[in-house]
Formats: sequence, C-alpha cells, structure tokens
Amino acid sequence: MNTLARASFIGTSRARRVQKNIERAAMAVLILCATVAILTTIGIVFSLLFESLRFFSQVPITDFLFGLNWSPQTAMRSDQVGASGSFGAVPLLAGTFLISAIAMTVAVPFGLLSAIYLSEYASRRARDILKPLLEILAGIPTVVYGFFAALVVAPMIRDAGSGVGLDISSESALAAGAVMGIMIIPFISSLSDDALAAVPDSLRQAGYGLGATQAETIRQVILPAALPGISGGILLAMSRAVGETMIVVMAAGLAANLTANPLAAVTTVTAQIVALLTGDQEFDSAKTLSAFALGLLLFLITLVFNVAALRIVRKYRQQYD
Amino acid sequence: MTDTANRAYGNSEKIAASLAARHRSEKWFRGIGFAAIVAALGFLAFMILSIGSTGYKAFQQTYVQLEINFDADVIDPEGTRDPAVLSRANYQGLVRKALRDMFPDVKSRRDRRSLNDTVSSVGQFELMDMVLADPSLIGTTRTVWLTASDDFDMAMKGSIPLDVPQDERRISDKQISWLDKLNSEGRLESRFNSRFFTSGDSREPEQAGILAALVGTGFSLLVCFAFAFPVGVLSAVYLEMFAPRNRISDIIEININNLAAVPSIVFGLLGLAMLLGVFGMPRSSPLVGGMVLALMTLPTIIVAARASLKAVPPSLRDAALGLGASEMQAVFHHVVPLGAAREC
Repeated sequence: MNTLARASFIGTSRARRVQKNIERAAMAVLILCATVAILTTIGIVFSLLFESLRFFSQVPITDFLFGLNWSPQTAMRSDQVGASGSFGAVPLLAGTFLISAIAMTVAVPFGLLSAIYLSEYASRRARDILKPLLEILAGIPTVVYGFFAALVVAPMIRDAGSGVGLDISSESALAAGAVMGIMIIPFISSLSDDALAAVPDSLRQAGYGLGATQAETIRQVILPAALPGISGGILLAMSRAVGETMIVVMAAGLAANLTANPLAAVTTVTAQIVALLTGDQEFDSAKTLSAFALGLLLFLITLVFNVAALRIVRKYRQQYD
Repeated sequence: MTDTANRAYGNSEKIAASLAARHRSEKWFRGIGFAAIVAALGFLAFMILSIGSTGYKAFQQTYVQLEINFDADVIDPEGTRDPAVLSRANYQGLVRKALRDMFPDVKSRRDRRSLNDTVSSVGQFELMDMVLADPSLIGTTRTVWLTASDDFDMAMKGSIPLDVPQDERRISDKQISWLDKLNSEGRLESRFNSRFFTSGDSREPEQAGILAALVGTGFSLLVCFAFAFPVGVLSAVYLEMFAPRNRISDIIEININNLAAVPSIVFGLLGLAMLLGVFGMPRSSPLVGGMVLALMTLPTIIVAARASLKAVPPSLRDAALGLGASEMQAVFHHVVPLGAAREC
C-alpha cells in the first residue's frame, strides 16, 4: 500500500516534469511567433536603411530630398547622353500627393456622407443590405481598379476633355486619383461609421431634447463629437492612398512632371519603385538602389500618417470610457 | 395688449417659416446622404459592367473551317505510321495548301503570306494531334475547324474598327474580303475558348491562357497560408493570453497596428533585400512571393484572431484552471477551440 502510493507519486511527478517541459517549449514557440511581427518591422527598417545608405554614398542625400529633377539613369559609358542621372524626389512626392489629394476629394465626401446615412438614417434592414454592398468595393483587388482606370476612366476623361477643347493626357492624375478615391470610399465610410457609432446616445437625445432636427443634431453635435475618430480614419485612408501601387502603375504616367495640374501626367513614388525594379537590374547601381531610398521615404511618410491616426483614435476612445 | 399679441403672432409666423426651412434642410441632408451611397454603388456597378462587357469576349474564340487534305506524301511518305515521323511532318504546309485551294486567285507572295495569317500558328499542332490520335486520317480529305489568328478573331468580335484607313488597323482590306467570304460560306464559328483555362501565357494572344498564372497564384497563396496562419494565430494567443501587460507588449501592439498599414510595395522591397539579397532565395519563385505575402497578411490575422480570442468569456479559462488544468491546457483545450469556432 505504502509502496504503491509512493510509486504513483513518483509516476505523477515524472509526468508533471514532462508536462512542464512540454509547456515550456510551447511557450517558447508562442513567443517566437509573436516576435515575427517585430522582426518584420526591424527587417523592413534595416533593409531599407542599409540599401538607402549605399544609395546616399553615390548620390548626396540633399540632391535626393530637394532635387527637382528625376531621371534615374546610370551611365554605362561616361560620354553617354544624359550620363549623369538625376535623382531628385520632389516631383515624385508632388505627383504622389496630387493623386492622393484627388483621391481624398472623391473619397471623403462620398465616404463620410454614406457613413452618416448608414449610421444615423438608414433602417436596420437597409443598413444590412447597403453596408455589405459598399464593402464589395473594398474587396476588389486593386489591379482591377487599375485596369478600370487605365482602360475605361482615362479614355473617358480624355475624350470629355477633347470635347470641350482641353488637351488631357491619357495618363492624367485625375483618372488615377478618381478611381483610387472610389477604392477608398468604403475604407472612410467604415471608419467614420465606427466613429459615429461610438458617440454616446445621450448626446443624440440631448440634441433632440433641445428641439434640434436630426440633421442639426448630426451636424452640430454628433459630427464634432466623432471628429477625432473621423479624422483618424481620413489619415489612415491618406496613408493608404500614398502607398497605393497597382492603380498608379497602370493608370498614372512614368514621366516625372512637377505640376499641380490634375489633367497632366504625373508619376508617383510607388510607380517609380516598380519601374526601377522590374526587368533585369544590377544590384548595386544607383538606379536600383534609388528604389530603396524611395521605399524608405514612403515608409516614413506612411508611418507619420499611421502613428498620428492611431494616436488620435486612441486618445478619442479614452474620452468616452 | 393687441400689440404684444401681434408681435407674438409675428414671431410664431417667423418660427413657422424657419421651421419649414429647417425641415427642408433636414430632407436635403438625408437626401444627400442617400445619394452618396447610391453614387458609390453606381461606381461599383459601372465598373463591373464595363469590365464584364469588355472582358466576356475573351471567353470566345473564332475557328476557321478548312478542307484539309491529309496528304500521305507529306505526312508519312514511307508509310511507317511511326508517331515520331508523324509528329515531324509539315502540317503548316497542309494548312497553307488548304487556304491556297480555297482562294485560288490569291497569287502574289505578300498576299499569300497575309492569307496564311488567317489561321493561328497553333493550327499545325491541332492537325498533328488529330493525326496522332487517328492515323487513319492520312490520305483522306476532311473538313476541319482550326483556331483563327488573333487579328481575325478580333475582327470577328468587332473590336477592330473597319471605317479607318487601312494602315491604321491591324488587318488589311484584302484580309477583310477573305474574312467576309469565309463568313458568308459559314466557315467561321465562335466557340467557347477553353484554351484560355488550359494553357499558359503566350506571345500569340489566341493561344494564351491563365493556367500558369492561376497555378502560380495558388502556390503563393498556399505558402502564404501555411506560414501566416499558424504564426498569426499563435502570436495572437501569446499576446492575448500570456503576454505580461507592460511596455514591451504595448510596443508590440503599436508595432502590429503600424505594420498593418505599411504599403505593400515596402514589403516587396523587404523581400527583395532580405529574402533574395541576404538569404539568396530563388527569384520569381512562389516560395518567396508567398512568404512576403505572409509577412504582409500577418498583422491582419493577428488582429482578427485576438478579437475572437477576446470574445471568449474568461470564466471558461478560470473554470479550466480551477479543475487543475495548466495555463497552457486551459488556453489550448478550451479558449482557442472556442475562439476558432467563433471565427468560422
């Protein structure tokens, strides 16, 4: 009896030890998985930084940041035409922000008004039908939008322009921006929807109690209360527009023009990265390395937008808790 | 007395008028909101319709009917019926001869060459496959349908404008007259383009298909899923269930939210510099593509998995712990299965 109890005690303690080792190993695996996301960020920062530093050893960083001329060639012979490539990123940034601004002028009114209608006016049934329909727009691959922009919208805008005597490039910023705006509508609408839904009902009731109509309550009470959430959403959408690639590769141009004219062809940071890296490239020419410098620039710009947006949204959440 | 009454009356009239205006603006505001949704859905419908109405033509392919003389002297002069011999024969010549016989008045070299362009270069292989499948065809004359070339196919589909000068379009006036003749004799037919689903890319549009691209997409997705799903779910489990609430887990949280908003092209650059540059993995392989996609989708999976884990009531975990389960057992035997069930 005594020995049996002791044997079983030894047995369970051994089982417990095995169990403990397994759990320790499992925990190690879990921690390892959780660090993958961190490692990815570190990998992004280091690979961009490292390749960019190699680029800046060939092209001064001031030329890159403040140069007004972008024509990325590296000469094979010294007497070649255009032998000295110029790597001024300003026209690319200007093009990127021009297209993003057009996209936001399309997306913000449509997205915000849709969100207001869906969250404040629509009946439950209408909302259950309309919201998923709107979200189809977000589920369409961007390459389809690019195709649509390049083959349908751009010729349409060009023909409309020639109808009224305007000379519009078939790779106009307007076509790419407008289609990008359509893509971003559900993004803005769903983030604004969340912000509007987070406004406490007591504010709504107070507005009605003071005799305001529903529209007045929305405009003067609910929208101001939801504004931080909405502007956070708009910043996130902006970051998305800046980083959008397929639409601009297909519908925007490749010539770097420094212009604010939405009817002209402009190019963007993302479109240039794609153009620089497709095809056969040597890995250490300034031309290839400039893609990483552009990538670093893009990463930093979107990071600023994202951090600002997340901070605004976070601060706003605490307000009503 | 009457004065104040009058003033009150005037006020209420003013209020009534302003009320009407306020109700009008209410209606307007509501209408604008509805119009915004309708417009957004209108864009969607327009996009789907315009792509659908342009794209559906790719599912059709024009075929040309020819009288092919499977000449034994050309295909198998020795009469061996050896597949190696049969597959080396000049089937292109058979196609050309059939076309020549059909249009005997086409004489000049240039015209003949453009006549030969009626049939796709895949036509000779279609004939070869027929002969290999049924050698008894040799020596007979049969009516055969062959794939038309891309230019003729586009002309048949109405995608080549015929009212512009000859040198501004892909097919010449002569070719159009041959096309019309073939068409009036019932020798042109539009069929379902099954080759579109069974072949890879090609320089000849009529022979191109999406199979290779589809397989590549499938492989990339497979790699992506095999990597991102377990890593994403396990890191969600760690962050939601085990991670101590401190600065480090705060940083991880912010990091994941930021990573979710990093542009996809930056992930591409990471793949180029790290996976191809540092680790020397093979270029253009679905392995590299899938891994980069996995890193890109990881934050989304983590956020979604955390949300569904958070939705499992903590009482379940407490109950399991109370019954003597270890932390690990409580999480993996009770919380994770329930969270997974919620997700599906």
